[in-house]
Amino acid sequence: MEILRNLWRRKLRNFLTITGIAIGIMAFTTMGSLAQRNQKLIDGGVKYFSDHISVGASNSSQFGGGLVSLDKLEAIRKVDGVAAAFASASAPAKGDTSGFSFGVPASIVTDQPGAEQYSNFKITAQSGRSTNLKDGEVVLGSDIANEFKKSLGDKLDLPTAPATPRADFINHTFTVVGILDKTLTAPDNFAIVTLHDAQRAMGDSLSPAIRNQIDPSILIGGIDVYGKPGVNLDDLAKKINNKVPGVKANPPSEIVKAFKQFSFIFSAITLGAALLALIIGGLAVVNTMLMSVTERYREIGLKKAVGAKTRHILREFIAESAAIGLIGGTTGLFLGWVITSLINAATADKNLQLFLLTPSLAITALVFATGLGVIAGVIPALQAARLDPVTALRSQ
Amino acid sequence: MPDIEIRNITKYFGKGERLVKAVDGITLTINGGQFASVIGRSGSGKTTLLDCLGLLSKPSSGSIVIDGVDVLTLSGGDQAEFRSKRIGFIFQGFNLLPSLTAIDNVLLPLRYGGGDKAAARKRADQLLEEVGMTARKHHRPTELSGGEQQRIAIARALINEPAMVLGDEPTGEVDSETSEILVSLMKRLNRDRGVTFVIVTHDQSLAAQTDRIIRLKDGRVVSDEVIITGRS
Repeated sequence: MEILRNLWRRKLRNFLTITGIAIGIMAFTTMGSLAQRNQKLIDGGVKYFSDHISVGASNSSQFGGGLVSLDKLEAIRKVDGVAAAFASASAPAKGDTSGFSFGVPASIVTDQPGAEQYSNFKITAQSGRSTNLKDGEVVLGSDIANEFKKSLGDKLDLPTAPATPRADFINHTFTVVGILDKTLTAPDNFAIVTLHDAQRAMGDSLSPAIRNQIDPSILIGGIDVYGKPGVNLDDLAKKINNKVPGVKANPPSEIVKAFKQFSFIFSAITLGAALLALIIGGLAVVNTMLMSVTERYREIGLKKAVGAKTRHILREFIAESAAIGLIGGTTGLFLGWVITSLINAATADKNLQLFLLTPSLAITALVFATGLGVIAGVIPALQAARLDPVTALRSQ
Repeated sequence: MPDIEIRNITKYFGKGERLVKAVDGITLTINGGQFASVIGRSGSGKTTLLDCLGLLSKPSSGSIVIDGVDVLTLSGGDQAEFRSKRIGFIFQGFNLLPSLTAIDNVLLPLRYGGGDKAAARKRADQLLEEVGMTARKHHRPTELSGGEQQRIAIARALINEPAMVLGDEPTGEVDSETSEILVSLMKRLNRDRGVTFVIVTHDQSLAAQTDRIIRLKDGRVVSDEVIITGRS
């Protein structure tokens, strides 16, 4: 209580200092929430891509893609070291793709029954099924189900028709048989259908000129390959590239590396915000506490006269600067929570969750702010503790 | 009650031609329970002597024995503890903490000296009654007059039941009427509790009411008039 009363005695100055810290911690919380949200997405990507090899067309990117002939599936299954291979085909789940999408866009993807026994990335259903689909059935990710307000047994046309569909726009009606648990990563925006339905959607998504010249039932978008236990997946990718022409097997380590580069950028953003808080808040606390020590010379002298030891004075001043840090941190955390919640709420109807304020981030922000107060308070507190009591008592 | 023995203490400031002998070889024995005043003109060394006696300032040489303890041989931490438990202070400017209530100011030395909190609170209540401040014990210093603040400071000086109370111009910032009240209060506490009081003052009328008047000049004792020898 005495700490708070001392802070209250110099309201304006402490208010300004606390505001400085609060702004810093608000920036830290907001940027940190953005980074956490992305980290979750990236972690999901790392987990998904690190346990298998993504095989795409020979001209595809490292994440796969392009069109691959279905007969490559059998060729790859025969490569030594391959435990299982699953065909995949995908297409946009929304006919209108002009809007902004954060992370993975809503996509029609392929059910791969049996893949769950090889994959580290487990998806579970909050209701209905998550796999073993029949043609005409769909399992929806939590975000996509929420966006289209669909539940078990509902019908859904996929891809969803744009406001003004082109004359050649095609979609098909599916029955929702499952809704997935929220993962905060790519599957939240997935509409999972059978390989046949996914191939058809992929074919439908092509321009009419190409669409009319191909048979989508013999084409797939890629192949996910799982290795036998103990097999190095990077080596296996090289082996597939050597033995199966016309495809490109991407070593998982390269994909994971790419994800980690993204992760590094977001960590740097958080660190930058933390440094900003450190500089603004730290200097403000040092300045405030130095002024406080100067103004309270007589008080310090008195305390020493009545028996306070160096450690008592140190403790009192550091506790006061820690309180400034804690109040500033709590205020900043609250403001950060309000901002991130408001933005998340405003973008919820677009299925856009930009921020993820986790308990660990909140605790880090509070510990950081309090620690900042403690560290910034050390020099003024030392100055106070070392004061000669006679000089302090006689000062004006 | 313990005696206080000051043996040939000196306190010098500066060096060479700028050497100032604030206290220059003072030897005194103050009997337990005595109410002594130290008087002298500005710069005579009376406040420096009080600082040395209160372990707030280290003498350049000499020794001080309080209650049989050679206090100048104690470490800084032990001196702080001794100060907290055996010495009470009353200052000219009252020096109450503005963030604390009157009773919390009285209890301040307990914060650093430890001890039984409940018993201390009881003692604080009793002291506040003795100094006539019970009704205002929850007031903050800014809500009290100068005389009332000094009463609180007197109660604070006595909370740890010290061997002696040192006062530095305790009536220096109050009017003459209040000064009389404070002197009477200190005399009563000295008499009733048997606590040794050593006060520094310019006020001749205050000094005239004490048991002993020690006059300093240029850091030395020039006269030592004992009216009452003490009650030990």
